[in-house]
Amino acid sequence: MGKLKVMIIPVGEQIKPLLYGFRYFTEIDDVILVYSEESKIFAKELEKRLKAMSIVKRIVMVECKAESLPSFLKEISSKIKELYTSKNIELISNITGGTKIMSLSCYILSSLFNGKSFYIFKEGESMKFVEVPTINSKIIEFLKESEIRVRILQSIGEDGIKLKDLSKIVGRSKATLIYYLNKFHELGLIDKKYDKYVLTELGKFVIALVSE
Amino acid sequence: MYLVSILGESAGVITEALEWLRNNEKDKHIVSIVLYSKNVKEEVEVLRKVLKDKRVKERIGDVEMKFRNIGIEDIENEKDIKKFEKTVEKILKDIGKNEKIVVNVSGGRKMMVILLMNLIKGRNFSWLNIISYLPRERIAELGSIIREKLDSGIKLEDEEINDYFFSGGKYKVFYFSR
Repeated sequence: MGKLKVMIIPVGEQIKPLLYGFRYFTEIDDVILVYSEESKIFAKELEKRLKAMSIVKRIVMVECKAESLPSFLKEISSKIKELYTSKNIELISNITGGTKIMSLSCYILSSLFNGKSFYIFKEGESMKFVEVPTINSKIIEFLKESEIRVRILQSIGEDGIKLKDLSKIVGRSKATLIYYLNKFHELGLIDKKYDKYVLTELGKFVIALVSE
Repeated sequence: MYLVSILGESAGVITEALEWLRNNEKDKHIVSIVLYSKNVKEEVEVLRKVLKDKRVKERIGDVEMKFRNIGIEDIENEKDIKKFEKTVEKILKDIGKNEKIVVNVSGGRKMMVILLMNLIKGRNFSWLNIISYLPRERIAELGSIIREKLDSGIKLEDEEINDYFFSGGKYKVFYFSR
């Protein structure tokens, strides 16, 4: 089965560039409109227009606080988990609207889900499409390849863990664990602080995203 | 390694990124390029001055600092965008193709950050965002005190340095690399 094409759109006060983004991406299955209390009215208007255009199968409305990057990522990723449990998705972000926190968070999500991010610039009376290069992270794919990888990462926990304790918890040899831990470190998911392995901010977010 | 940042209203996003990189990256040779527009000129002066302070130097290490004026007041129209792009293109050309670049997306306008990220495609880049947990009011309050003191040549208190330039230790970094 092919990937489900999902477009995530933070909504600010202008909806024209958000609609314009659909010229570049067709056959979108779902659209997630992310908005704050202030931009709710614009999100509703966008929803109405998208429905009238009948270009997407489903529109999901998500109201967020977007106070900080980690809190927004937490909010939006729990929604994505809820909507697409074990589904293969391609996440495309139109990061033109919304606050900087919203846009950067959607950019991170698209990077993790091997999607694309783009921005629509206003050039006089016309619009210009600009694709923003994503990190093309292999993190999610790597973790989902085997259940033990997620379990090791989960076992590191908020406070970090020593290698011998991790070995007891997951029931794997230290040598096996070191292989995975090195890989996690390479991917930016963990750091080593003295004799403990600790999750980075990215690691904490990713674990929330992949945990069942 | 090159750290490319856009300076917004707070110099802390630069000093915190430098401190974090120093403590977490293997490559200790960091060239920090700070892009700024005319509307944040005061904050540039704050940063320039405080970088001479021994207490700051100790925390961020030996960093080569380069300041680049984008030459615009703010980013508002096509002309500003072109000027911003031209400045960044020149910087990237000077950096060289194979160097590792860390893009600090914490400061500056959203549009500047997006343009910077767009121009960096095809390069070996990482992405860094500072999340400060110090209340904004405290940072705003300190901003004016610090500017005044630095202008008058008065030595800053340890606490002022720690809070304004390092969020009192209450900051986290979201670091994302290939």
